[in-house]
Amino acid sequence: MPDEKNLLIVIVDQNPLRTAILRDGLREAGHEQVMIVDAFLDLERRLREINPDIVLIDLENPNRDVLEQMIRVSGVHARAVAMFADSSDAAMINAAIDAGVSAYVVDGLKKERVKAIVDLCISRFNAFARLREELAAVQGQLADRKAIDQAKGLLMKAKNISEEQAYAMMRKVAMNEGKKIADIARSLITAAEFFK
Amino acid sequence: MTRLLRIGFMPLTDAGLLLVASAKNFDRDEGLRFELSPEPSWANLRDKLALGIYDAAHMLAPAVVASTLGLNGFPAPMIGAVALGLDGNAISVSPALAVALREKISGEAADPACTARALAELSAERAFDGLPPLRFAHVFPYSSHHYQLRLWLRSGAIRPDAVQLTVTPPPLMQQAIEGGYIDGFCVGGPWNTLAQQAGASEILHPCRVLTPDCPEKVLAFRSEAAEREPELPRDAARAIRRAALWGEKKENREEFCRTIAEKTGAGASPAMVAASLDQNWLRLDAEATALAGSQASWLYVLMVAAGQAFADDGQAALAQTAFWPLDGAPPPPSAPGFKIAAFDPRHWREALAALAG
Repeated sequence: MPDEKNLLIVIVDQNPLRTAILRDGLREAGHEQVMIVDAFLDLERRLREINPDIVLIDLENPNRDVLEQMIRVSGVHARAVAMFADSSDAAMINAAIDAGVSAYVVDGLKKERVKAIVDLCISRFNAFARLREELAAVQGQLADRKAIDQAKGLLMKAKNISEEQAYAMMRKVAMNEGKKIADIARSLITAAEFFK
Repeated sequence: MTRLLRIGFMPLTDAGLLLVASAKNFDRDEGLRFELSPEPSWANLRDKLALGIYDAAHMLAPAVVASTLGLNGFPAPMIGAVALGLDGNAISVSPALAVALREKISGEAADPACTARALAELSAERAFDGLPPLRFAHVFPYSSHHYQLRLWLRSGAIRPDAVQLTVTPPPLMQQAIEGGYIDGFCVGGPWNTLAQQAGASEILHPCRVLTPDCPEKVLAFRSEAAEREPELPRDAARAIRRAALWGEKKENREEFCRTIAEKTGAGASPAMVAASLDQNWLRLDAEATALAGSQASWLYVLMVAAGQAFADDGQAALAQTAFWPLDGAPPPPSAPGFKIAAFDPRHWREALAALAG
């Protein structure tokens, strides 16, 4: 049975941001032996060489089926079991699937120990998803501002008015039509294309 | 009122009947609405079906039998309600291995036993030269691809350890063989054709020559859910059969192939789908949607031969319950080269003796 304190954990993922989040979280929890495998091909041989206690893999990675093979058929990893397949904790598995994480675990590890690691991964994966949403929101705001600035410029030139007046015009139209200023700005930019 | 049925599938040509049933509203004819979602792995399909995230799944026929037998890795038993086709796999090899095999072949190159004997010779030479064994990939431990590779190797009397078997996901087969990580593979459509067109591999045998009318994929439901509402799997089965009957008609063939090519999302052209059907590599006709317990029993024998299941009369009987019978299924393959005239579930031990002896 592997040393509970000194588990060798492999993260199979090609997303550097997500793996960094996961690795840092595991280190904070006292897991020093964390390796990242970002290769898609020849995963079986790589994992055989590393011989990890736990493999964490992104749910969208097609290589999950490679791990199924290693675990069920080959002699080397005959002691290993799949977390999803053998855990009876449906709530945890549901949370893991929602978060997009799956774990393959060597048999013989204490369930509570594994659960703690998987729970940590779930919260970290969720944090990553939130981060990505925030990033998308920020990028959306930036794009909105750019469109509004461009539309203001068009109006100022076409009507020979000030920036404040141009903005006030767009805001009025937006309020009347129940739309966002950015949407009005985009319509204006599109329309302006026709009058070039 | 239509009932929503959430179904997961793998982007493969043999998901075709599901995709056509949905595109042409054959699901509505049975009071259902198929909501189809692609998945990257069989493991995902299994887990999401077991957890009820899906109501049904495009599933490897042997995986359903494995779940019924309670073999390692299946948290909830499944049943097959309808077959989604027969055959469809092929064995491909790297261009280098194709050349080496051609030099060794004596006899008919289309005969799998001939190519397997050539491979046996080649493997023996490699071992003598101190080279690592050749590596062949299939797609999942419980898959017809796995058993077809084993049957092929066995027909050339290749020792189990003389060739390494591994798993590679279908979309990665081409890269894996180009990178030299594997020397050959057994996979379903359109991946053999796509890899061959890219010059990465050559198709050696369609698996139909090894195991004609081999059960391939089924539409799987959780046993517990299927027993609770048996009309649901039966309605879905009828919708699938409607799609197959529609596709059989000459005037619909072009649209049938185009729909499958477009909706699968694996990069196949309509011509590729048409070719696999015309050459009879893959069967998506109405007869190919039928299911019989004898098919499950035959897969059980292959599992025992592969060391995945125990030879036991109780298990053999249990295996047969994995598939809900649907009239008209062709008999299971006879596995040529193994002197099995016809497979009889009552005499499964004879088949096993021929395969494992």
